[in-house]
Amino acid sequence: MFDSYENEFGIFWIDNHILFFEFKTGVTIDLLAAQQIIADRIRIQNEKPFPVLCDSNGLVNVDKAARDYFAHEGSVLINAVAIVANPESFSYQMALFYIKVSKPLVPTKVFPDKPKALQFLGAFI
Amino acid sequence: MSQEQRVKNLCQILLEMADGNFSYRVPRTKEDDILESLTVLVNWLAEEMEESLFHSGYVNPHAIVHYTVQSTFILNENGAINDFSPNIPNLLGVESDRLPGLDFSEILGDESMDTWRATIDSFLQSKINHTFLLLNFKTSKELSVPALCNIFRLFKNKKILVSLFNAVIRNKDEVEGSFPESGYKHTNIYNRQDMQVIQSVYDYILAHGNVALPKLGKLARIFGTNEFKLKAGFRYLFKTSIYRFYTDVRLKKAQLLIKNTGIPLKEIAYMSGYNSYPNFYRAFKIKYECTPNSIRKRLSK
Repeated sequence: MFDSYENEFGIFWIDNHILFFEFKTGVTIDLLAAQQIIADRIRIQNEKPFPVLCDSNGLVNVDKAARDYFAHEGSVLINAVAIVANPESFSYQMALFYIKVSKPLVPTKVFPDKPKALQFLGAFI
Repeated sequence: MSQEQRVKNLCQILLEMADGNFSYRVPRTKEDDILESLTVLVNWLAEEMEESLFHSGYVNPHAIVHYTVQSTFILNENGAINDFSPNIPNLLGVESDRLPGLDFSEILGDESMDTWRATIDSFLQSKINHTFLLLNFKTSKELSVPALCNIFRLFKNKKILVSLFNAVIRNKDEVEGSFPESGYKHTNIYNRQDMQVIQSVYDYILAHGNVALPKLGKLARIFGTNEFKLKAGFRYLFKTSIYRFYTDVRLKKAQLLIKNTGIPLKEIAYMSGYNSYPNFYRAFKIKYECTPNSIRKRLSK
């Protein structure tokens, strides 16, 4: 059973106690967009914390204000984050930069595919 | 854009950054190759450094602080450049005599063209006389400069004023001269190690808003310094006191939860690291000038 919700920037759904988020193709995220995404995410979660799997392959850019927001205030009600990004794409470098420099407050790792990401998140359910 | 031009752009921005200039960005392309990866990394690096530099101590507040150095354009009512502040030619890399008469859109990057056209149309139709938006300026070096622009039509004549908030730092003296003193004497100018200690404390507080903050003396010892250096250094580098910063971190999270969930306020207070609701209530009211409940009430209307 999927509870799914879509906004301008991506699609959320919950499956097996994990919250999935997939960015739409070609999106650019600024602070306002980040705030929208976080607000929508919190609402969908119904006050329960979740591990999150985020597919960032469609993402084109995230500015610094948004990166910092995701990493700090935006980490409420999250246990851990697994980012899925194609290693051949700049998406992968973006994820590495985010993890290393923006220093997210919850355990965050990047994976080349969904199965590996799910394996990581399994420990946080 | 050719591969060669993309590589040239990357070299150019690295030179600018080495010269202490972090306002530039390399334009993105539709490609998804190693050069594009490099472009993203360098742009993001420039963004991070732009913020760090302005704290005159090279610390990273993990947030945007808008440092305002003003550049101004005066446009006629159709959007052609009439006049401009003297730093503009240098910022854009153009000769000053090329600018008068030029349509403002000529100095904008492609990504801002539509936004600008829509804005100038709204001004011409008198729909608006003020707006605030992010525009990307193109420079002669093929790099772009993003800047928040305050745009408004003057009251008496129909001219349009465009003010940008941007800075191009050429040397350290510019930085020192531009910042107001924080009220503390520059007695202990910190070496790099001191700054790293203070950055570590900052990062620690950012990550541990939900637990009680150790007494400052103890905190200082944990991080290998003393209370005086820690307090003074933190205030000098981050322009706020340790305790106020700690409170801000907790209350920001609380506010997010209050706005977006139905979690009882008492529980949010505990989740935010307060062990009594009255303490939370008081701190919240001081910071946001309204009660936690009033936010809920306003949203339920």
